[in-house]
Amino acid sequence: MPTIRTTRAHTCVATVTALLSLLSPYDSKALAATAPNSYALVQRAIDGYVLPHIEELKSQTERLALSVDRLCQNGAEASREEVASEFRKTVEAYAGIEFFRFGPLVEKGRREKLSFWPDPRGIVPRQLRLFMANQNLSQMNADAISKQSAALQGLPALEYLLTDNTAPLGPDAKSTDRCVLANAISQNIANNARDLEHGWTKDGGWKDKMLRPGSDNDTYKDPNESASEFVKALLVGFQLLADIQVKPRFDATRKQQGHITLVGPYEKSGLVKAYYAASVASLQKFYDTLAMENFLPEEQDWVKNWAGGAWRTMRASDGVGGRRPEAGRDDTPSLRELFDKITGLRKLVSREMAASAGLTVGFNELDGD
Amino acid sequence: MDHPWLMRWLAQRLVLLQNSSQKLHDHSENGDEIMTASAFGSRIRGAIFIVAIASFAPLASAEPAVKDIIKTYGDLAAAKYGDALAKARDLDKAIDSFIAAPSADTLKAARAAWKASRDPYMQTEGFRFGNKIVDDWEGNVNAWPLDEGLIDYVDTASYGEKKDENPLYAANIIANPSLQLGANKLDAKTIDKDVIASLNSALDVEANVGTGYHAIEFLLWGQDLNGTNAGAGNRPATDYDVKACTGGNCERRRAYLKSASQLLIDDLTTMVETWKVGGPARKAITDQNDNQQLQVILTGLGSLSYGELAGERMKLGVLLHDPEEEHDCFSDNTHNSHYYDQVGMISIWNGNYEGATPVKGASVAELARAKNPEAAKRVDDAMATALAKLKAIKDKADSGDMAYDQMLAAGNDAGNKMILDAVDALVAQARAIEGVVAALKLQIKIEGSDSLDNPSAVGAAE
Repeated sequence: MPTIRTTRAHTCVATVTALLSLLSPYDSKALAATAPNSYALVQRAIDGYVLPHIEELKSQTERLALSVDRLCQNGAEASREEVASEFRKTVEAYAGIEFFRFGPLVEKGRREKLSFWPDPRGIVPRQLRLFMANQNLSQMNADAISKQSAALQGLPALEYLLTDNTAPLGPDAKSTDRCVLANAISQNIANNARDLEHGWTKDGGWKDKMLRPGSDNDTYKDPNESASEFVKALLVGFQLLADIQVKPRFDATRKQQGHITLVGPYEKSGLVKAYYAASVASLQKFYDTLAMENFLPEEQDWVKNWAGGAWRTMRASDGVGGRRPEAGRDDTPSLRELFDKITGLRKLVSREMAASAGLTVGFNELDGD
Repeated sequence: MDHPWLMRWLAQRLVLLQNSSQKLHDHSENGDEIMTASAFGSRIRGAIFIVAIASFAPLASAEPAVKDIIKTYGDLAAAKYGDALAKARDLDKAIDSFIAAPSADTLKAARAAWKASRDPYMQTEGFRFGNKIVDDWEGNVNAWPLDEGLIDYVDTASYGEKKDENPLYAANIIANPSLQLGANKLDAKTIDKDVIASLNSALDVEANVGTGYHAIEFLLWGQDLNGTNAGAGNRPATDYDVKACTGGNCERRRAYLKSASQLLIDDLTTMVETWKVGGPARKAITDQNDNQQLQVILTGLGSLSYGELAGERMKLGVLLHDPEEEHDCFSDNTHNSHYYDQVGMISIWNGNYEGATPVKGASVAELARAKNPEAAKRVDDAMATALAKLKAIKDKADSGDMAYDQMLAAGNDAGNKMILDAVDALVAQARAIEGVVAALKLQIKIEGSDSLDNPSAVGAAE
C-alpha cells in the first residue's frame, strides 16, 4: 500500500476542487486557456485516433485469419507461433478501440461479437462445448457462425480453440471440425472488423453523423453532444481498466480463501499484461488526442499535474501487481494505488476537463450491474 | 394489466386525436409520411402510444421548486414500495395456502400472486441507480441472473454439474445440511432466513443468489427446460407435498420457500421505512444541493434505461440467443418486467402514480419543460417510443404467439428485431435524458475511487 499522508498540496487540491465545484461549466469556460471547440475535438478524435486504430484492427484481423488457415493446413510449429503472435497483436489492437461503446461498435452487437469479455459466468466455454457437441461443424463458415451467439464468434472463442490442447489445430483428422470452426470464427472476426470500419467511413456513416450534428440528426443534436460522446468513451476506457482489469486482482488472500476473482483478459493465452499495457497506451494516446487539458484555466494546473502523476503510475504498473521494466518510477505501485489513480483521473476528466470544455457527460452501458 | 393512469392518459389523448382533423406526422425512419388522426388511430397500438404520450406533455409550464420535485419523488417511492410490499404480503398468503395444501390449483394461485407482485416492484427500479441506499439493498430482492443449482435440484443434462467460475454452481442447499463456503462451513441443518441470506454473493460470485423474487420464482416454477421453444418452468406441486414428495427434501424446500417469502416482506418493509417522510433515503437526497438532488432522479432514469435494461437485461440475451439470459427466465414473465420498468420510469419523470396511494405533484419533467421545452420534448418522445416498443413485446407475449425467450432465439429474425428495437429506443431515451442533464447544467456523478473526494486516503501521484 502507498504511504498514506496528508500534504498541503492535498489540502489545496481539495479546496480548489470545492471552490470549482461551485462554478458552472459556463463560468469555467470563461477562464479557459484555450477556447473549447467541440467540432475540432470531434474531428481530432476521428481522424487522429478512431480511424487509424480501426484500420489497424481490420488489417490485423485479416492477418490473423490467414495465419489460422495456414496452421490448419500444415500444423507446423512455426505456424503455431505465428498464430500466437497474430492473436496477441489482434488482442492489443482491439484494446485500442474497445472503449468506443457507441455507433458502429455497438451496432448489431459487434463489440460482443468481436470480444465477449468479461465473461464472469463462463458463457463462452459453456456455449462452445455444447455447440461443438451438438452441431455439424463440417459446413460451418463465417456467415453461419455470424448468426450464432456472440459468445461463439469472437476472439475468446478462438482463444479457446487455440489453447485447448485436447486437439491442437492442424491437418490431423481429429482436428478437422475444430479447424473448420476456427477458420469460420477468425474470418468472421475479420468481417466484423471490416464492417466496423465501413460503419464509420461510409457516406452517411458515423463519422458524418458526428461531424454533422443538428436537429435533423437522429443522434447528435449539437456539436457538444458529439464531443461528449468521445469524452464518455475515454471515461468508459478508464472504467474498464480500473473495474474490470485491476480491481478483481486486489486481494489475493480472498482468492486463497476460495473466493472467485474475474479471469483476466485473454488469460488462457498469457496476455493479461499485454492487454493492460495496450489499454494504457491506447487510453493515453486518445487522452492526448482529445487534448482536453488545453481547456483548463491556469488556476487548474494542479489537474494537469495530478493527471501526469496518474499516467506515470499507470505506465509503471504491469496491471497485475508488478512493475514494468520501462517504468518511470523506482517503486512498484500497488494495485490499490493504481485503481485509485485511474478512477481519480476519470473523475478529473469528468468533473474538471469536461466542465472546462463546456461538455456534459452522461450515461454509458457500464452503468448497470 | 395496464397501469390505470397510463391508460387514462392514452384514452384522453385518443379522444382528442379522433375529434380532431389535425394532421399528424409519423416519425418513421424515412420521416416523410403524413396521415390524418383517424387514419393514424387505425395503426398499430404501439404507434398510438408514441403520439399520445408525447402530445400529452404541455409545451411549457411554470417552473416547480426543486424541493417540491423531491417531495413528489419521495412520495412516489414510498407509494410504490408500499404497493410492492402489499403484493408481497399477498404472495406470502398464497404461499401459505400452497404449502398447507400443495396442489396444481394452489401452486397456480401462488404463481399468479408472484406475477402480480412483480408489477409494482418493477416500477420502483427507476429509484435504484440514483440512490445508493437503494442500490446497496436491491441485491436482496432482485439479484439476477442466478445459478439456481445452488438452491435446489436441476436438470444436470442441460445445466451441467460444475462451472469453473462458481464452486457453488450445483451445491443444492435444499438437499445438503451444510455447505462449504471457502474456508467456512455454513450450517444449514435448519433452513431459515439467515441461512438463505448468507448465500447471496457467496464466494464473491454474483450468480450465487439465495433470496428475492427470482429465488422464489425458481422455487415456484423450477427450471424452464424448453430452451427457446414455448413453455415456462413446470415444477410439480408435489415437490412441496411431504406425503407424496417429488424431487426429494420436500420439508426443506417448503422451509426455503416460506423463508424467502418472509425475507422479501422484511426487505420491502425496510425500503418502505427508508422512504417514509423523514426517512434516511429522503434525507440522503435533501442533504445535497439542488442540482445534486435533480441528478439523483435523472441518474436513476438514465442508468436503468441504458446500462441495465437495454444492456444487461435485453441486448445481452438476444446477442447470446440464450434463454438463461432472460430476466424472469423460470416463469416467462420477462415481457411484463421490462414493460413495467418503463412504466415506472415514465411515472418518475412525470411525478404521477396511481397506486393504492396515488401521487401527483411537481416533477423533473415540468422543470425541464419550463427551462428547455425542446430537451423535455425529446425525453417525452423517447419515453413514448420506448414504451411502444416494450408494449409490442408485451402484447406479443400476452397473445401467446411468442414468449420472450422465443423472441431471442437464434434464427428468429422477427423476435430478435422486436427486442433490439426496444434496446435502441431505450438507448435513445438515455441520450434524451442526457440532453436534459445538459440543459439543466447538471453532472452525472461518477462513482468509484474516493481518491479525489478524500485525497488523504491515498498517496500523492508524484
